[in-house]
Amino acid sequence: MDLITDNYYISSVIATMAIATFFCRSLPFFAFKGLATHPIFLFIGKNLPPMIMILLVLYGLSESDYTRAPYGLNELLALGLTVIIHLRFKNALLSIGLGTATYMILKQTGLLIF
Amino acid sequence: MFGYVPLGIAFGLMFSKLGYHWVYSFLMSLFVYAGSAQFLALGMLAIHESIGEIGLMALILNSRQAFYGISLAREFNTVWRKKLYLIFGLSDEPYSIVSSVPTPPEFNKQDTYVYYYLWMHFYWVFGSTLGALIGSNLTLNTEGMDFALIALFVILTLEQIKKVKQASPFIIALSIGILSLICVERTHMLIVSIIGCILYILFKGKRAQWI
Repeated sequence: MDLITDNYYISSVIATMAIATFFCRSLPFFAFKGLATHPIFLFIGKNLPPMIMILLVLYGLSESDYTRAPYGLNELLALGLTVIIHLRFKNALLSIGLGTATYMILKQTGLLIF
Repeated sequence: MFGYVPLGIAFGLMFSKLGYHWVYSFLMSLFVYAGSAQFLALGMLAIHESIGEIGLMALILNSRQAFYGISLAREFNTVWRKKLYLIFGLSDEPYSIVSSVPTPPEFNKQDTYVYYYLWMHFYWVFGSTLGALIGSNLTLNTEGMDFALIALFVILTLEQIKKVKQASPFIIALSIGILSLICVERTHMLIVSIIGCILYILFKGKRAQWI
C-alpha cells in the first residue's frame, strides 16, 4: 500500500481508539451521574481496585501458550525476578527493565527448552 | 510513576517494527494513552486489521476503565478543563496511583492528581517516541518485549498488596479470573471478571471490605 493510504489508515486507527477509550473513561461521568455518590458505588469503588490489578496480570499472562515447552517457565522466572527486584529496590524502571529483558532473553534463546 | 517510561520505550520499539513513521507512535500515545490496548493494536496493525475491528477491541478492552470512573467520580470535582483531563488520562497506572497514594494535605487534591497525571502522560509519550525513534534506526528482535506490560501490572499489584495487607481480594479475584478464562474467550475475560468481582463485593457486603 502506498504511503498516503498507510498514513490515512494509521491516523484513523489512532482517532478511533482515542474516541473509544475516552468514551469508556467518561461513561460514568455523563451516564451514571446520580449514582456516583450512592454509598454502594463508593464501597465498590474502594474495594475493587486491588482485584482489578491482579486480573490485569492474569490477562497479560493468558496470552502465552502453556501447553508447549517450556510450559510457562519463562513467564514464571521473569515474573519472579520482577517481583524480587521490585521488593528489593522499589524502582519501577529497574524492575520492568530487568524483568522484560529476562523474559526476552529466555523467549528468544529458548534457554529453558530442553 | 516511572513505570510508563520502560513500558513506553517497549511500545515504541515494537511500534517501529510496523514501519510507520515514529510520529505516529507519539500521536497514538498522546491521544489514546492506553497501554494494553496499544500493545494489542500492534498485532492487529501488523495484519492490517480493519479500523472498526481495532476500535472495537479498544472499546471492549478499555471497558474496565469505565469502572475506574465510578470509583473516582467524586474525587474529580474541579474546573471543567482539569476535570476533562483527569477523565481523559484515567489509564491503569493513574487509576492505581490515585486510588492508593494519599495526597499531601497542604495541596489541593485535584491539582495534585493533575500533576501526577501530567508526569505519567509525559513518561508514556516520551518513552513511546524515544522507542519508536530508536527502533526505526536499529534492527532489534523485539520478541517478548510486551512482557513489559505484565511487569507493570505486577508492580501495580504489589503496591495494592502493600496497601491492603491481606490476601483475600487477590485470591478471590484470581479465582474469578481463572474461571472467566475457562468460560469465555480471552478478549472478554476482563469485563466478565470485573463484573464477577463487583457481584462478589455486592454479595459479600462488609465481608468484602479490605480498605
